[in-house]
Amino acid sequence: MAEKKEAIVFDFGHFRNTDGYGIRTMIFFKGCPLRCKWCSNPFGLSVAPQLAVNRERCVGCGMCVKLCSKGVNRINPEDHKVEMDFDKCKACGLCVQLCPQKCRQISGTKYTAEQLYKKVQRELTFTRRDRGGLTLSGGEVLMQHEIAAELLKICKRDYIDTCIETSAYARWEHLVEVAQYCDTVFVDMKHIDSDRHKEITGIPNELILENIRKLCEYMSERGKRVIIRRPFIPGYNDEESCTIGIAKFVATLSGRPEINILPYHNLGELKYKMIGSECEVQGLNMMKKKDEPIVRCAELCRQYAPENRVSVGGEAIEYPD
Amino acid sequence: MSDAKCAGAKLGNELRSGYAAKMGSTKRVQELNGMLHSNRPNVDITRARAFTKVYRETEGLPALLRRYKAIAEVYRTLSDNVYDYEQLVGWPTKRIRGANFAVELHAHWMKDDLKNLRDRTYDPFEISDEDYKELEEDILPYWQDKTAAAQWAHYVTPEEWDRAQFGGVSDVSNYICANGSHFIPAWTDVIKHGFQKYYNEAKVLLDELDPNDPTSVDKRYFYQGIIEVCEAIKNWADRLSAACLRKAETEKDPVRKKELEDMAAMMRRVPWGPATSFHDAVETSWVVCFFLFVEGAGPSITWGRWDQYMYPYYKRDIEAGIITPESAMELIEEMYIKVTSNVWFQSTQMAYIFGGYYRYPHLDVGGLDENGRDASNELSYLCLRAMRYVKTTSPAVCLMLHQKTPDSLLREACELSVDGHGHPSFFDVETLYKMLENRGACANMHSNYTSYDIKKYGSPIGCVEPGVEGMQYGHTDSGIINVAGCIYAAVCDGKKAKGVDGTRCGQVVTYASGAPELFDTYEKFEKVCLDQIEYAIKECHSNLIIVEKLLAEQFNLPTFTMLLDGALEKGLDATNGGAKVNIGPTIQMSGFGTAVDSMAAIKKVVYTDHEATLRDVANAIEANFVGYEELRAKLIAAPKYGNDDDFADDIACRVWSFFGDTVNHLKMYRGNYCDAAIQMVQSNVGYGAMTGATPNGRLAGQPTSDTMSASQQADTNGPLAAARSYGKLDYTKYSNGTLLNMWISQSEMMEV
Repeated sequence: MAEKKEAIVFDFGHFRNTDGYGIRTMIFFKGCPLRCKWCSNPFGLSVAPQLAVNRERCVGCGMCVKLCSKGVNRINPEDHKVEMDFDKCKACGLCVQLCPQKCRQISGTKYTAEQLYKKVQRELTFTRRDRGGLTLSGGEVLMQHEIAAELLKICKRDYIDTCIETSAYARWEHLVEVAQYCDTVFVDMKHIDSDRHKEITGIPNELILENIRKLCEYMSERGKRVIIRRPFIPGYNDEESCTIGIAKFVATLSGRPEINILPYHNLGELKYKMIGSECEVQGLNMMKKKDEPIVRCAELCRQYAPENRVSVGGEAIEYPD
Repeated sequence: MSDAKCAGAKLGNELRSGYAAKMGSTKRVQELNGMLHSNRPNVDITRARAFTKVYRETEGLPALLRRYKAIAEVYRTLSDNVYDYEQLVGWPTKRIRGANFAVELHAHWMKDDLKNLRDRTYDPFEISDEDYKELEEDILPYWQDKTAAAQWAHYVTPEEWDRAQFGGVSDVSNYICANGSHFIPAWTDVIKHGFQKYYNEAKVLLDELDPNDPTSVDKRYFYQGIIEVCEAIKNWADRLSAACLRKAETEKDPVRKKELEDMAAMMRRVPWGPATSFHDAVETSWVVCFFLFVEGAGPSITWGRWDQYMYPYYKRDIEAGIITPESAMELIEEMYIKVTSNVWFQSTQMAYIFGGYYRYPHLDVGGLDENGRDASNELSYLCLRAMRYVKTTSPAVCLMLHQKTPDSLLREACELSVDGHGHPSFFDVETLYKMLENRGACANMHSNYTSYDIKKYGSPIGCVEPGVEGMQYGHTDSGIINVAGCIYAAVCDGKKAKGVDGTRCGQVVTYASGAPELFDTYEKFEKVCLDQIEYAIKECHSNLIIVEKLLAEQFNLPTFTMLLDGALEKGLDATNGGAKVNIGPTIQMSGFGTAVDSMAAIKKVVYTDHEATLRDVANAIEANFVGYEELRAKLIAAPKYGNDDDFADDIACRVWSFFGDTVNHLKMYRGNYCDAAIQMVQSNVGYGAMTGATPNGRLAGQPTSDTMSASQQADTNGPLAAARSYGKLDYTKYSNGTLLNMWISQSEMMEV
């Protein structure tokens, strides 16, 4: 018998409300081919399970130092908090349970599609009356397209509303394999210029743009939705030309997809430290919906994509009945 | 930090000046709200003085008659203040935010503690020097050995008395000072007919008494007393009417002058006679509410289904063009302000557990009608909207929720909820009905309520207790069992921890149930936990029935009695079984989440993983985990209630059902069975301070888990997983109500 395919998941979100209609259960798939410099979910970058430590909560009890045979942990005598040598860590997870401050977690656990479905099913009491449901995110969910499609297929059998959040950087067959079970696909447009796209995310954008075009046709033929997300990162993709380019491109897509602007937030910064790496985008202030550049960005989108609805922030998306 | 402190002090001063509190939909309401909040809680001795006078004059009279005469004297001497901007008339005290406290229930502790009343940490009260002197020299010496608590001491040993008052595990201290509480009077009836109905009824029944019927002996002075109390209420209304006229005479503003004259006319109509308008009806509903708050010493005089019985008056006046929705809401807001003025006067010990002056008045909207249709109307919306404007702590506004609740009403309620003042509460009426079906009856038996009674008049009483308008009497937040303390006792051979608050520290506080080594399986350990809980429940019950007897014999409540359907015909006082359905005193659980998590942690660490022995756990909690940090970490890591994890939730279900069933099998003094509840809002702080470290990793003196919620920071899997855990419990076993608090961060709120 063939081994059951397993998903590598680094987090679950319960009771979320910004990535799809109503109350959403989120599953974050681990592993991503992009390296966006502002990524707010660095745990999702590498595929392999890894240890994450929230040093801020450490009280220096030394339990982990005693426990770990690989010598990953030591207490910094200056501030009496743990210092990590992540290169030595094999992510065995022994230290996680014993940390009295619950500073530690293993990011990356394997689940079968059925196991994941069970977690979704538990929320049905709350979600089935108002079209809430499941949203797959990451990382890049399409890196695990087979298991994602399997999970979504089971969900559709139970009439659960399904969404994915993706960069659309994948082979078209893989994208469509997953999208066929989706009610809504959220897809990011991080830059309109391919060279600049490569500078800030590590990859060019031709494949992405082509996929988005095809996806919009595919979804609108089926009466399903695509929502184009425009993360707004000062200094990286905040040029007016970029906004105009995106808006012009979106205006040509089938199904008049909504443009959803996401103001930059810095909530991911601490997470980098937790896995022993560093975020390139630092010191930027968290943006608010009413900030002038955001308002301007929305204006430009409305101007160059007059047929498309434009919203700011995930909670502002309109879901027709 | 210092900035924050300054900001806090500034806000405090602004509040005290009454300026920051000027909230409301109109100038009139804003001024009244400011006036309310510019007063500090204060003591009024009118009631105490009246009681002392009458009791001194009536030595040798039947206890019930003395009591009724004293209440009548209270009504005859209540203040007749009328303030600017008011449209509703009458205050329970001379000063706003006063407490006309029940000296006959409080004197025993006041004789020692009066000197601290002005500056005690929780709930200090202002009192004038003259009143202080009169209390200290004249009133308290007369009453100190006559209170219910003082008399109860004759029936129990000093040790039992101490345990029940200050032990912090099996507690009756709340009950014993709060006679006359938790009541929904016959609102529909009293608003429709006024007190003259009860006056006439008592006269007729007195005339009809057959002197050769042995039961007529007690009934004769019962009716005489009722008549005297009714006359005193009439006297009060006449005095208030005169006061309005006096104020009108000096009033320069012709509009206000006319208002005052109208108010004087209104006081000649109600509460003595039938309400003829919405304004009249609101006046009766305010007056009766504060009468009961003055006569009774306890909390939770409840308006019940206010939007239902007030609606005919509202509709008629709207159609006649006499009022507008806005002017009706203005009256509702004024009523909210006035009821907030009723502060709860409690002993120092009780203020420590129930601090905050809050007296739990309660107003319900929505729900179903007697045919099972949606009952909401315009007033349901206005009652919720009024609270959004006036922002007072009282009354607790409640939405009775069901499948047919209109989305717009639910939305109005949610909008109020988002304002973050703790209003409204949400009640599922289907569960409420099931609780009422079992109310006061032995486990699995049916109460005396008919289905019609329940649907037409059933509603929660503040905080959460199911009740029926005019049919139910009984004290509903009476005995309190701190189950977290019981688990400590189960692990530590019946002892209470050393060095925590309250008395009996380091001594046996329940019973010695054996050394930890005796419990070699989890089943044996769970049994001893439940045995400890049962012991505490039974000790509590034995105290409650003693006090219940004292109250029935000497601490009667004429106004409560009049406002119970059929009590006059029976000739029985409320405290002595006059109600159609007698309930209580009930027994509550406190610290549920802490207890369950403690048992789950022990099951996991001691009996499943064998990483420590029960003796280790006992040593650890006795040492408040000092030197046992590793064990504490393991205990903390164990499964916790509130995460949809059956390892802990199964234990929760068993403890829950055991407590409910045990309580439900105990018979009370008036013949009904005891109801279980879990509702003690802030008592987890006070009981936590009296509880040692617990095996879930909680440190000594920290608050235990509140109400029936998961322990603090223990429900880490989101609100939906927590809700699924809560959904596993059988709520119908708690026929006195359950209370759940859930905190949801603003980012999780949704626009709909």
